[in-house]
Amino acid sequence: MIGVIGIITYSEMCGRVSAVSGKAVFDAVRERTGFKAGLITLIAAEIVNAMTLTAEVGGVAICLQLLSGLPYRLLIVLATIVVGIVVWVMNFNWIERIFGYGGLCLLVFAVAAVKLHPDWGAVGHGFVPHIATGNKLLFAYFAIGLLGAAMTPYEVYFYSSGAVEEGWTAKDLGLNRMNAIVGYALGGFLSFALMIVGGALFLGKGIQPETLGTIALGAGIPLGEIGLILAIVGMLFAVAGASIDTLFSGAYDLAQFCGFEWGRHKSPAGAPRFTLSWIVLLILAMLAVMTGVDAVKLTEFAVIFSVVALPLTYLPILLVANDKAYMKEYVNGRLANVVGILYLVIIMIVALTAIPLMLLTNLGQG
Amino acid sequence: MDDLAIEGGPGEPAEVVAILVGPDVWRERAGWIGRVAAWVARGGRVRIPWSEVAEVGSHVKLKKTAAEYGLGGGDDRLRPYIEKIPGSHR
Repeated sequence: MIGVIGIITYSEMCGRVSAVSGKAVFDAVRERTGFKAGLITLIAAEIVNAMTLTAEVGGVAICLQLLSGLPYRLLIVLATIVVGIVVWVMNFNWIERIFGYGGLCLLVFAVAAVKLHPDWGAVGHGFVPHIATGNKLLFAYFAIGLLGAAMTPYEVYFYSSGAVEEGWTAKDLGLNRMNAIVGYALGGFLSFALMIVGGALFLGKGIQPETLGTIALGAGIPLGEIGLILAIVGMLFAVAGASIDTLFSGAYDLAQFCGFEWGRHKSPAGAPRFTLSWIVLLILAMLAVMTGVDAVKLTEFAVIFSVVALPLTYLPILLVANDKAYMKEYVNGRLANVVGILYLVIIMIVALTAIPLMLLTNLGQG
Repeated sequence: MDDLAIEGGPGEPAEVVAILVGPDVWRERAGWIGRVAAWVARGGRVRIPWSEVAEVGSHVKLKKTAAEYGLGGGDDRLRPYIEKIPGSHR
């Protein structure tokens, strides 16, 4: 819940900045933090992007394997080729629509959560912040992981660049606010549904739902085969869509920092260095996942390392959103500033403690 | 825009005289990390006189197109290779 409110606040802010000033987040990062800090942020962002993309390409291959039973390595290559062709052939709007609507199959987990008849009192109690384990460090590690996953930097890089891709202007600020609130609230809702399903089915039974297949069973057990298939198809579209977001995000960051032509609203030949950037990133991710790296473990690493890059991403957004020279009458209001500063403080604490907690808890193993 | 060229001797008012653009500028701006980035990017530097600046807002607008100042050369060099892939102009 805390992460969802944070990402809604900052996405609305960076969408507004893009709509009014035409600047995407990485433009602001470089401009407001200076060249050197901007370059360090770029390197950190690209490392995290590469890790995330690797995990996502692996995730797409796992979903395809669950559906087809074909060999995993073959499906890694197939997943990479399909993602590459989709990005090459489709325009930005169609990519958003197809993967967004396909991902809605994940709503099956909300139905599954209701069908499992959980103890709603216990569910409600779970939403009240409390330490549910004797190991406070372990609790802090997972809390940071959830916050990092909800506020991962690639989301705002992609969101703000998407606003420029779609040519938003000040007239689109209502759409921006609606997108940020509904989109991320839906993501948060699905996370809650998954947690309820996980709690009802696995908690206290010694089952660790650490693979995508186990998570899909959360819909399969209460709803049967159709639930299982909808869950896997939903995961396939959601992970594939996220991989395209991450892929674009890596290319956007590099292009905006270096001043290349960028955007999928241009043809691949219209933005050659941007095009080459995403092709190289996709091939690197494929090669990395072919080494046999554990996609789920890599996701955990990517989330924890992304937390470290959070302050240098979110601070420039807050600064530009308050700059009257750029934003004119669309500068942050008092509420956006209070919430934005509060989250910046949280982000800084989290960024400073993420790596030490990862080491102290032995990667969350306790 | 990667840097500004500012002129003015001791006791004189400083004056921005040009915009500097390109990876070659990075090596002077960010220590070893800038030198590595400049080496990887392998681009030169373009100096655009300040008199060519039309407007400074959220973006700096020039009087002529970027290509006329020799900007975006990296994209121009790479374009023929990308164009060989079918559908590159879609």
